Amino acid sequence: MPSITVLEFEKLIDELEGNIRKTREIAGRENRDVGVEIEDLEKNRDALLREFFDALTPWDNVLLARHEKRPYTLDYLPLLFDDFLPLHGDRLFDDDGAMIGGLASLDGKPVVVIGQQKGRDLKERAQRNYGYARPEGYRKALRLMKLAERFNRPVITFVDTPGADANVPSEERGISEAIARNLREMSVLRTPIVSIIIGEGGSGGALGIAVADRVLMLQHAVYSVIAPEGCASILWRDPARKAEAAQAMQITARDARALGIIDEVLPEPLGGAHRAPEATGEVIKEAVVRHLKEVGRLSKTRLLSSRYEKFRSLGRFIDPEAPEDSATPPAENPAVVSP
Amino acid sequence: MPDWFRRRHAPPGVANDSQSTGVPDVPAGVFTKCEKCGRILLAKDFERDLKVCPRCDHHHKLSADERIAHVADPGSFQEMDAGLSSADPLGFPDYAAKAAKGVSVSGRPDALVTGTAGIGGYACVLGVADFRFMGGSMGSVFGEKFARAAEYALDQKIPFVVFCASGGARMQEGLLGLMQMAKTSAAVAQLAEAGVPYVSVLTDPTTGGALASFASLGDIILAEPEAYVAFAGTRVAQQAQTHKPPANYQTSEFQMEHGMVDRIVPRKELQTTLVRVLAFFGAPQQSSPLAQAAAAANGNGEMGEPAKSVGRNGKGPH
Repeated sequence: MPSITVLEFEKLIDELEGNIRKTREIAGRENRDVGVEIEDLEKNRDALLREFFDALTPWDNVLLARHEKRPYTLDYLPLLFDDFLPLHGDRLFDDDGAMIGGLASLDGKPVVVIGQQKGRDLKERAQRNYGYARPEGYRKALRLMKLAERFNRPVITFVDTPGADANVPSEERGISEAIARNLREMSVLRTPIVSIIIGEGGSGGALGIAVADRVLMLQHAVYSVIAPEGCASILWRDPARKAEAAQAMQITARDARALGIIDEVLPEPLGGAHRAPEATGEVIKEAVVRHLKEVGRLSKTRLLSSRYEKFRSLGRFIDPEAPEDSATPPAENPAVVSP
Repeated sequence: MPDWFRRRHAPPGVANDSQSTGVPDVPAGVFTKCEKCGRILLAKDFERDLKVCPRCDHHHKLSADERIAHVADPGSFQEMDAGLSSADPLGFPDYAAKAAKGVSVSGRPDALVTGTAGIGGYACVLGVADFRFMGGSMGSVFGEKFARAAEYALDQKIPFVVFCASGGARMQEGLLGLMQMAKTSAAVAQLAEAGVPYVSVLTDPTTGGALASFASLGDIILAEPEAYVAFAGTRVAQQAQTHKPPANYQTSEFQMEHGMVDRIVPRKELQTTLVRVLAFFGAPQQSSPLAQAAAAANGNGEMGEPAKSVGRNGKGPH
């Protein structure tokens, strides 16, 4: 297990890349051929990256998911869609900067796009409330989903939030009700929904736009019931044990796939999505198109019944009265059923 | 204050334990004391008052069994899926020990008790969370029992009444815990689509993932006075709080003021209020458990069409 975090590791890689750049510059000035040296340096860098990324801890994935350079929803939209037309407001109270949405076309087909959005700089972070969506965000998202339903357009949602906003005004305006309503309404929305967890899948705030026919997740994104710091402070009264909590809660894409929570892990370029956003965008687009095609074939009745079954079946427990043939129990514990 | 005014000895039968709690401790059995104001109460009066303090009106938490005894018609409750228990799917540190403690404290294998009941003669499916089992948290068992109960209500076309006392999703089940929010909400959606009534009663506490899912989705949402009803618990919220909260922040009263709760109902009026609500919905009458069973057996009773396949595994209440 690496003894440094991925962010510390990235500093080493940055140094290495600085050296490569300098070597190039010097060679250019002195008119020397350094192709071989540079190739060696780059090989060396990629080997280091591969070695480190093969042994990423869950906490490293948290750091990558929260990376300040990680592509956000708005970075992916131009890579996936033509002519995104942003739409604003929940028609009830406000427009939430942490939740964006609008119309777009995916390979020429009209879709509704919804996504949580963090800010890049201080000003934008404040405007987007650091990605903590407020009740208006969830209500705007639902308004757009209902629009999609009425006009029979698929919905694509991008999940990237530390959690829903828990400040006083959000509590006053019913943040819980807004999320709960989305969970209920999305489970019966009569149009296909595909969700992609692109960064932080923070608890109910993430789930509030992720009750979908297909849930996809980028390789280094995380999805968790509570932030690791919150889990550590509640369980052990010590937020510093966050890495331990991240490990215990099984929050990586691979974990989520193994638990049957998500449908597919989308691979990221070596070193993480921020090192090659365009390539990441291509991977997301290919997967979204493929999954939409699959669920788009289902009748509305089938679509809704399989969406219900998908979430209905999530859970592992012991049922002493379960008929032998009613479930396929995991091999390691025959009494545990996933109905 | 002159020293002679101070009480030097505890009153008879009351041990002084003011160092640890600030409130005198009392021997088990005869007396009890209000958790909030510290008033010493006769245990039998306390039980008669449904664990509501006569002085400060504090509504003490009820176990699932106490709640059922209070709201369901005597002898009408027939439990469903009583054997489901948690499987520790992640091998989470201390989960097994905490669940075992929950079992010994609550006498139940998990945090939600479900079954059929009559309330003032109206047949319904009743779900009651027990806070003593790991804070009433929603793990796989909670979600599964909730969904099975909702599906039974759907099948029988009888109202689903849920008493919430839950800290939210169960961290020890990770994402599976989180998904119980979607699972319970999807089950409620099925009821809504079919026009089967769903009544949610918020009791102390109703927070986090519980409030952000099934608890907030009732066709009617009732709440007990001064229950802690919040999205983010205090320890989570501290990190986020930038606005000054009002005095009654995150109580039932606060939630009703802001339009999130239909009505605050003192415990002694809860049963009669539920009866009025069920009457409004036109819930089928349930004369007695025996009559109900007979009706189901005859396939022609007041309960509506008998279930051909009851519940998920073809099992009804047992």
